[in-house]
Amino acid sequence: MRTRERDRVVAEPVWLIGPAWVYDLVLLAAPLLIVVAYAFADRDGFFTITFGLYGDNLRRLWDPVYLRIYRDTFLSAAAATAACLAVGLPLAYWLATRVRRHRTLLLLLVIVPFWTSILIRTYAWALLLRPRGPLYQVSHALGIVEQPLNVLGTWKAVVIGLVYDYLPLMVFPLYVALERLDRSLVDAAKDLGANRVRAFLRATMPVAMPGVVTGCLLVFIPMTGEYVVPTFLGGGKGRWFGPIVADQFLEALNYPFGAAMSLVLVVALLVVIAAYLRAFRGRPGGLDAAL
Amino acid sequence: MRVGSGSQRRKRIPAAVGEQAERLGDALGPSPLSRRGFLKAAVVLPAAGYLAACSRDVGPRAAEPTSPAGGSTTAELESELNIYNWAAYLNPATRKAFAKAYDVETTLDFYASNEELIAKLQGGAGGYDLVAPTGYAVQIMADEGLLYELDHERIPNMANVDPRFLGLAFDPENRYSMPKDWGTTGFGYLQDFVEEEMTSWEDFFSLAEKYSGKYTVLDSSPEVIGAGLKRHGYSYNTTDPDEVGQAVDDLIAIKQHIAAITSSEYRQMMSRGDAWVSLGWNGDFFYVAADQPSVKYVIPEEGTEYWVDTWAIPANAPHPNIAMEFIDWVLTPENQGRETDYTYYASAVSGAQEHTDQAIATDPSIYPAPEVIDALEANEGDPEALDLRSEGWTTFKSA
Repeated sequence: MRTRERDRVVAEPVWLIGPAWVYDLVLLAAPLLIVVAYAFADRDGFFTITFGLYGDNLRRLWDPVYLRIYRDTFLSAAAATAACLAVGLPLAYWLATRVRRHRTLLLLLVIVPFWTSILIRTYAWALLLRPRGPLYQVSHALGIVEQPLNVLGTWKAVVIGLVYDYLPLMVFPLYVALERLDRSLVDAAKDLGANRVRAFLRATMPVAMPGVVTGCLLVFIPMTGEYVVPTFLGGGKGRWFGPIVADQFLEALNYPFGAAMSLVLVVALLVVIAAYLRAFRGRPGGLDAAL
Repeated sequence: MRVGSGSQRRKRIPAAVGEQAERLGDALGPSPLSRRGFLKAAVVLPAAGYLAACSRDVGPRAAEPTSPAGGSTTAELESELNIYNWAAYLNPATRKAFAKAYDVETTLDFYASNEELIAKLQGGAGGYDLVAPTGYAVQIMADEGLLYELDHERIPNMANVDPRFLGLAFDPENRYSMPKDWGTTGFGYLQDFVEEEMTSWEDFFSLAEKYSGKYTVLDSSPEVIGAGLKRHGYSYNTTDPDEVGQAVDDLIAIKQHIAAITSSEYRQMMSRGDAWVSLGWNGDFFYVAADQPSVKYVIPEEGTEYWVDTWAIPANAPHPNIAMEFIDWVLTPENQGRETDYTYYASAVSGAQEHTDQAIATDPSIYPAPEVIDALEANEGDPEALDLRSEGWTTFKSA
């Protein structure tokens, strides 16, 4: 019965997958191979690069100076991801379960900032967060703060900027997951004696988990390579991976070392993500539902 | 002192990023983007620059880029000139006048540092006809075959250049470059906020703690590490790893007091009073003066570097003839005077001062006294020295 049904399905032309393969090979695999080639190349002077299997660049990375960059980038990105989740989850929950009218409009408002360049939005934050900027003036007038703000040029500004810039990427997967929430599940949990917190944790969160997993990945990965926010809001002086690797290419003219730094980040990310997905595998709404 | 409005400085920029950044610059205050410090944003979308470069019409090619020596003065002038320059480093009036005189269409693209320019050209970026590298970068690019050989017969106005600025070590016969202007790297501070009178690099480093969070330094290794070297009386061009290491340690010690490492933002930060002491290029502080009249530029007692920026033509320039014509045309005292009015940097052409706003022409931080000039050192651009600095720079940034 099953086989006969399958037979009836029109065999889709295999070549339709072609463009996707070409795209992957030309724009993903090939550039990555170039990065790998450079990472193992030897550099002698500004422009003399010998390709081969040299380990100098990777060995240099072993220096605590550079290892700290990875550690700090990962920790800061994780903190910003958590902050994004803390802001995004209530927002998505509210949008998915409480808003009846104007939901499309409100969803649109979440994306509207994306229509403006990330550069301009980030720069706007730099102006808001100035020591005696608008934020200070308002909160000073309200008697909340006395001293001029000491936020711009610190990690605080970077986290604020990251949360703001990446929030939509967190909200949408959460919203999509929570939209599927069957209210009767929550009601049933309450009927069976669960208080509100317990009902949320046991009935709502399992439904939301695929969104949480996806949202965190969508936000965390690009954050580790973030360039604009640490440069403009962090004063370009924090231990953030993106600007430092950009320096290797544009200032130090050291392609091999820059490539080695990138390669190690890719590998480190793969490890972190694999561990992360493993942790969620088998849980309700874990890996399989997320991907 | 004259300070132009933002809108006056709006330029035509092919790359989308450049446009955004320009608009930002216009929106953000009285001064446009830093003269030499275009927002590093270009890095975010480097492809934009390449695309812009690729999409340009190549136009008539009258001479082979690699063999200009035959230099027929009758070579056909192209109708397009694509300029790749530091931001706010070419008076729009100059560009318009040239475009009108030669019926040329011009485009502008920006880079933020010599290293970026080298990296882009080395990486194969094409389409540019005119670039403005600093001396040491000319040497590196010429050695790498990235520059077009100039035909001096077609640049008769070379005779106007002050001989002091010709035949410099980075290009002994001026085969690849003509001096554009020159300046110094020092620091500026706001006297309204800083109690002490600052005169030296020693002051710069030792007051960082007192004025913590009010400091900025350039996002460029030779200049900033050079400051640490000069503080200890070392040469700007030292290749001694210990001396460079000492300079880097000094910088790391004050890093916590630095609000931003930036070549593009410090003018605005100072204008708003958010930064009080900034390591930067002399001309930039003149933009600050409009909002902060108490700004003072210091050529530190221990000495510092002077740099000579040049006009040069990339080896793969699609329109080298019109580019050479431009270089010749701009080397007149009148055109140079107008450039200084806009950039606040001293011209290398004799007699240009007479065609410049007198407040600028007589300012000792733009045209320093001869004995001050004698004490300055040029960045020689030794690859080994630069390598040492960029390694130290990564250490400083990662600290």
